[in-house]
Amino acid sequence: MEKLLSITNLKKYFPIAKSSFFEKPMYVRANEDISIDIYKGETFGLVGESGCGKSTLGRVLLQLYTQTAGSSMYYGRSLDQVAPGYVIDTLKNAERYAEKYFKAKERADELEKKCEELGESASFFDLQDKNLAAAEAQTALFHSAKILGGFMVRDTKKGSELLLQKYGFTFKAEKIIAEIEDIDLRIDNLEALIEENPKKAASAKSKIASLKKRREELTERKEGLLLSASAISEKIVELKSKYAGDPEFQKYESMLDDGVDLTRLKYSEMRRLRNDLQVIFQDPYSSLNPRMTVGQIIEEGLITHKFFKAGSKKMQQYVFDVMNSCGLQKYMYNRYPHQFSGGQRQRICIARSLAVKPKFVVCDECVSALDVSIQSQIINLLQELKEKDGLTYLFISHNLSVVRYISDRIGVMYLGNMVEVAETDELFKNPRHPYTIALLSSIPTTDPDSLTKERIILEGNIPSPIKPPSGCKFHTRCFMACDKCKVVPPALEEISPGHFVACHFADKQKLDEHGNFLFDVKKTTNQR
Amino acid sequence: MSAPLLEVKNLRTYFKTRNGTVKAVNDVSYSIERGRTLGIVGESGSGKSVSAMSILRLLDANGYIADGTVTFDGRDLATLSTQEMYHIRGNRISVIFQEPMTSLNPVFTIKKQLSEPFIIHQGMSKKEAAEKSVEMLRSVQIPNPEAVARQYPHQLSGGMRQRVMIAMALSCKPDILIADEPTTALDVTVQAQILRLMNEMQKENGTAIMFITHDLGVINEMADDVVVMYCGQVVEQAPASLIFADCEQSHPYTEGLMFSIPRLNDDRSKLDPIPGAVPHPLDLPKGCKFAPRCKYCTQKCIDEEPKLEKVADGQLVRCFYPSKSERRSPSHGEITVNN
Repeated sequence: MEKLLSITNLKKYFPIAKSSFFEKPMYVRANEDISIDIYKGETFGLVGESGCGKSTLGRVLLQLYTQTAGSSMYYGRSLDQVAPGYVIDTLKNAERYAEKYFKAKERADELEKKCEELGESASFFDLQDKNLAAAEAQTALFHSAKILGGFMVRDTKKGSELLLQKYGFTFKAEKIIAEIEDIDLRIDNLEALIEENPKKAASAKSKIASLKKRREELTERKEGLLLSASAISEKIVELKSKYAGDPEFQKYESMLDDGVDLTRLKYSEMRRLRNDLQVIFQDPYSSLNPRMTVGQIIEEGLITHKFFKAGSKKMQQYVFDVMNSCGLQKYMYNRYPHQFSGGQRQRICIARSLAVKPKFVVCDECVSALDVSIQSQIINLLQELKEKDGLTYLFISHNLSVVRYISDRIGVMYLGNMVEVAETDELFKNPRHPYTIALLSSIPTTDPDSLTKERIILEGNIPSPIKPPSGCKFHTRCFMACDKCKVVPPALEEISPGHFVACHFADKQKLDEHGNFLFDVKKTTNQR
Repeated sequence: MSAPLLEVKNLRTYFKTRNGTVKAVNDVSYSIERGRTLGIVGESGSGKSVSAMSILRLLDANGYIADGTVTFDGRDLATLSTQEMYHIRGNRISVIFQEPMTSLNPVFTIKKQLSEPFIIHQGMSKKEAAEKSVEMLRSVQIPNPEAVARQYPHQLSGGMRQRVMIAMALSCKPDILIADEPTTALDVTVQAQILRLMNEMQKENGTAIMFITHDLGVINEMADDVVVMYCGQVVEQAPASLIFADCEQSHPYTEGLMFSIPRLNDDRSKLDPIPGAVPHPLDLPKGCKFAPRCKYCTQKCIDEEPKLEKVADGQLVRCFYPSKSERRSPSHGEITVNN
């Protein structure tokens, strides 16, 4: 399957206001080291308790928050199409970028060593400094290695120059392609005009002729650019072949990535990508502007992203089509949000985000505020639209049964960490993380048999994300925790294809086929 | 059989608005016995909260009880004086509201707020009441109750605040506890803790609980008897064991609710939602209130209003076609309604 988004070591820290100038900064660690890939056409469900950072993750992906560290690569459009300024900048200052990484790495290693020496006596701030330095080094590495590859350590000057030339050509070529498409559209419009209004045929025809001429010119230039780009590509390959056996070169070369790094885009560049990445918010009451009609709300995005000119007839027709596909009637076009019920408002929100033809939609608790009978209507609508347009969803919810129903894969989060990722069926049949098991067993169901089943009820509350527990963050509430869990943080490891768990006891199977627990813990039943 | 602890009979609660009278609760009857739990389910606007608030006469200024009786322990609450109601509210009948955030006073400490019922209803001194409130906090399993008692509501998490609310509601050992969506704003893991706590408290004190929620799963776990409400009316009333086991007779709305929620153990590729939305309270359909959204609707349903009738032992259903197999059979003359 094709990747759409790839997140590596994403961190999002929110700084806390300091009470004095001399105080050291502290952070709310909303997301800690999250790495996931989201594939085209799938629904990725994200569950967890409130405060576990699932909404933060959704917003960081859309770059509504700037992430503290890590990279989020987007593959929905090619690098040439977006032509981001950061690529040129990195290549122009390649040596500086590489140097920056090595310096940051040195500092991180130094702090790591210091913490190891201190051992148990290392203070909270020592550890925090170490973490931040490591994150900084990693981000610096991503910044340079994803574009430079092996040239980061060998032949930096020559390699970056060649790459710079190549990107210069391809970026230009891509710009010309966009222009040609624009001309095609204008020709189509003029041809339609001739049919509608034969009186204006003469002037329209002359316009078409001049446009066609321009198109030929541009096509020629484009081909020229592409030719020189491929010539340079050959040179690059030649240069690289020298280092085929060099492990140092290959190490960085393997990090080369042709996606667009969303974090490094400028505001205006990100703005152009916004129609690809959309969001549906939780509360349909506060996410619609009360002073705009439904028509205006849906049209706003279309005008901003230059799909249509403001006030055009075609746009209105298009908006009607979108409204219809979201289960809204034509006569609602001129109404205001307050005239609708919660379910209808959520439909307006959905229509607004889907009107700009997105590729990736973040649904942030989008059915939680609705009545039960309306919830299922909205879920079905989302399913239908996904099948029709091949959308990719990130479905954030605290309701496991809804997530199970809509998702292909599910990620379970706890206190900023991803603790388990698996395909939906696998996660429900064979959950391996104790938190997932506790979460599954605490959902009240309408199944009469569930009353007699044993349940796990987690004690206490989710700890503070400012000073999270050491080791495994879940150990304070875990029923399987041992001494190791208090010290060593478990890594997210693949235990079977596609099933990732972050637990020291991940290998142990915990449920049998009938959903009975295979371990012996002090269980608390919630029976009458 | 002795008389039930609380009996609501033919209750009608209306609200006067500029556009007409809203019949929020329209001829509702139910009863609760000591030590049992009554679950009330329905969508928003179905009148479930209003019916409970009418019991305590905690209605907005424009609301009034138009008809019906609320008999509590042999006395009609609708006719009591304001003074007498004070002694019942918070003492013999208490409430846990949905949002623990807004139902605690932000400018008083937890101790101060918890002492209030002891001082007012039991005439304790401030010092005694303070001691007693710490004890109450301990009984709802709050860690370090002495410290929590000195804190303000904003310093506590949602689950902790709800525990404080429960402690406050249970402080005078009430006969009836009205829980109005007590866990809706909470996480599932915390919800499980709170539900367990309420069950334990009920066992200990023999309190009757009236549990209002829209979550059928919670009802299944908590309630002995279930009342399903729709548009201010009771559409079905049955023991929980009957309603959740796939019984032969039921109201189409109950059936629809059960099918519309995704369950953990189902493999449907598509949900079966109830089409449309709850009708506007000022513009209710003439016949059966559920007819416009019902897939088994016939001409009779549009013209006439069905009565709440007994279909099985302990089960009441407001539908002309309570039998599931009958209304699903092809000979059932349903029509499609355009709303």
